[in-house]
Amino acid sequence: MKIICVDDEELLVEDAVATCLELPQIDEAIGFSYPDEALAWLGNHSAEIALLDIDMPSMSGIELAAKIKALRPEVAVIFLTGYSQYALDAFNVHASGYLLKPITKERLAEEIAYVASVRPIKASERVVVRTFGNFDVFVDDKLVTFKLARCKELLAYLIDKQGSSVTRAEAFAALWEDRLYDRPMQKQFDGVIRDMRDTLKQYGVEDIFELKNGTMRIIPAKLSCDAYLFFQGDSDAVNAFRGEYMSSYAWASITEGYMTWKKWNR
Amino acid sequence: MNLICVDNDISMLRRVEMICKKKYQLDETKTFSKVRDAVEWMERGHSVNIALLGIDGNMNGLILAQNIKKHFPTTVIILLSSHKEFAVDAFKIHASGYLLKPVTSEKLTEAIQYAMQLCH
Repeated sequence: MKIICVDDEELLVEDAVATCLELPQIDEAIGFSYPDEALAWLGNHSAEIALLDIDMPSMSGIELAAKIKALRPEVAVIFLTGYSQYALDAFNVHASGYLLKPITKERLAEEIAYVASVRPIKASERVVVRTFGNFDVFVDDKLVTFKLARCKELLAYLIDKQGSSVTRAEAFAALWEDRLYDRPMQKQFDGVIRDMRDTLKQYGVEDIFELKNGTMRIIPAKLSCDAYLFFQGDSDAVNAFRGEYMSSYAWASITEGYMTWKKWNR
Repeated sequence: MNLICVDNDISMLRRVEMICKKKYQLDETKTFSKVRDAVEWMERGHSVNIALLGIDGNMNGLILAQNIKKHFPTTVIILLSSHKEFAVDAFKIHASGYLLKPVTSEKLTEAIQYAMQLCH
């Protein structure tokens, strides 16, 4: 999990960051001495937890928490404070925790473990799609293997379309380029669609795919994808893009070109 | 989804019942004026998704909350009190809300709505 720590006293921020990094659940801890800096950072990043001091000169931690919740409701707020009188205000901004200073590593670990245990696992966190470099799909951190290379390519193609509906003929044209879409090929392609769906079903994530009135699409909200983050302007995703997008598929070069252009013309 | 309210303040129990009946489709809303009755009801095997617990006077709501959390860790707890000084303790038992009495109906409705969101 990613955590941010905000305290106007720089030494205390460093201390909090160091303590957090010792905990097994925390992969990344970022410290801020000014609430505005933290808000600016959250403008194009997200975190699971925000650890906030309350008594700060430029903006109170309660006000900061309200702004964080408005910007990113998924962030769990834990207050770290020397005073008990703000606890009621802390409930009003739907904080998850309220720790009185000085805090021990054990208390902090307990709070973070609690937040991690109640955090709902969203469908979008189960399915992770990687498009930078080669195309791969993971469900619950496990690599998805498809029956046929074409099944995987079809899913890649739908992901490239970002949720727009695609007809069978369109998808066929992209995958088979110059082949004629005649009866035997239609039959073969129906088999590819069925096998892809079966694979998704096997992994319990068939709801990312929708087949209706002869058109199909994937539902972007039900998965997390590096390219989608890229298009949302997420700076981590933009930095991670090295000019290669779904490298094994010829039809992907259009999006790849567009992304390259976008990265250098930001 | 089951909701219980335990408080020695009968008018509070009536208001919670009213709000739950009018606005939300809860499978069951149970109100108790005695902690003992609530505990008995749960011991009979009923599960609780949301618990609104009064903690004033001899209510021992904090202990009840701790017990509920022990048996049903995912239960969303909202505490009701005329005093604000238990708010830090409320965080310790991982309550999701703390309503200071007198509570307006808006606040009560809002708190129940928030609790229902957390349950999903």
